[in-house]
Amino acid sequence: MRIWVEYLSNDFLKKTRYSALVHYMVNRLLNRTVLVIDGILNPQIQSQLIASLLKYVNTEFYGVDFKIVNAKVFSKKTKRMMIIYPVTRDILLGIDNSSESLRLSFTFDVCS
Amino acid sequence: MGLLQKLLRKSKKIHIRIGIFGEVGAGKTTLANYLTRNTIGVEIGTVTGIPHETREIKEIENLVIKYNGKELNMTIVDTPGLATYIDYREFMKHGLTETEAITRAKEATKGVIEALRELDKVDLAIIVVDSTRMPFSQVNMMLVGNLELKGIPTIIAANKIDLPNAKPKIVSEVFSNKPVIPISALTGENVEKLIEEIAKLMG
Repeated sequence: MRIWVEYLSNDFLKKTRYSALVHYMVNRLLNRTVLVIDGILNPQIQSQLIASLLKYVNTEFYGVDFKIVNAKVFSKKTKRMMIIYPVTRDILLGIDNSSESLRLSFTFDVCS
Repeated sequence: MGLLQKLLRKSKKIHIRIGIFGEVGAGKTTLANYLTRNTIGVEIGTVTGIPHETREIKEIENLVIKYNGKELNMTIVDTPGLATYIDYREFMKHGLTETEAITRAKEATKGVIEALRELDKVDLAIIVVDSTRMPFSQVNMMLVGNLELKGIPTIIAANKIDLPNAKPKIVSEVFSNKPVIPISALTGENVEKLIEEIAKLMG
């Protein structure tokens, strides 16, 4: 089983059209990618993302969850970042955040 | 009746569509039921302990409330609870069979999508927050942010103040730029203040 973690820079968010961005993130999240967003997504994009992803809910894929962290990641300054991750039957994501680091852990439920 | 009189009479009547939004189990249907039961004597929906009991939009029209000489004609819209994910196994913990739980999860996801669409249709929003839980969930933040961007007046109802572990002050602190009314939708405590706030915002 493979999990990807993808960082989306602020530049990428700014230059990508609203609908294209939602489409991009939906595809990534459905394919077991954890998105680390530089900044906080606009609430309208958040709701569009939730609405788009909930159409795919089944007995394996349950939707997404969001977490906002403050960390010095890819930058010397502490920044607010949004982590968006798929919620599935077999993977549990843990997020450990301090001002200096951001650690993601994945627990696989191989029995389910 | 003269045209001017008709217009004046019409101008005093305000028709508003009020959406009740919030997380699953916050007490949206309990509040909607309290409002409709005490004005037109009917209830809008059923309340049980099972999550996602309201899975489709329910609305009741023509709830008339008089406030300061104005007549507010309201349509109350009870929306399904918002969630970012739905795990069908949660329903099985409440006694549903696997098939029932899967069906309920499918209906619940449609309900969430409908509730999100309803954000574009309301004149005023009440966000019901369970004041026994920490209020800064992503769903609440997303709701407030969306309504702000759309310019829709919003009231936060800090619900469940009848419970000993309720902390409506925390809700007020988190949503300090919005009117926050501590209420109990179950007992009706402070619901009048909520109606006053609706009238103030729409009057």
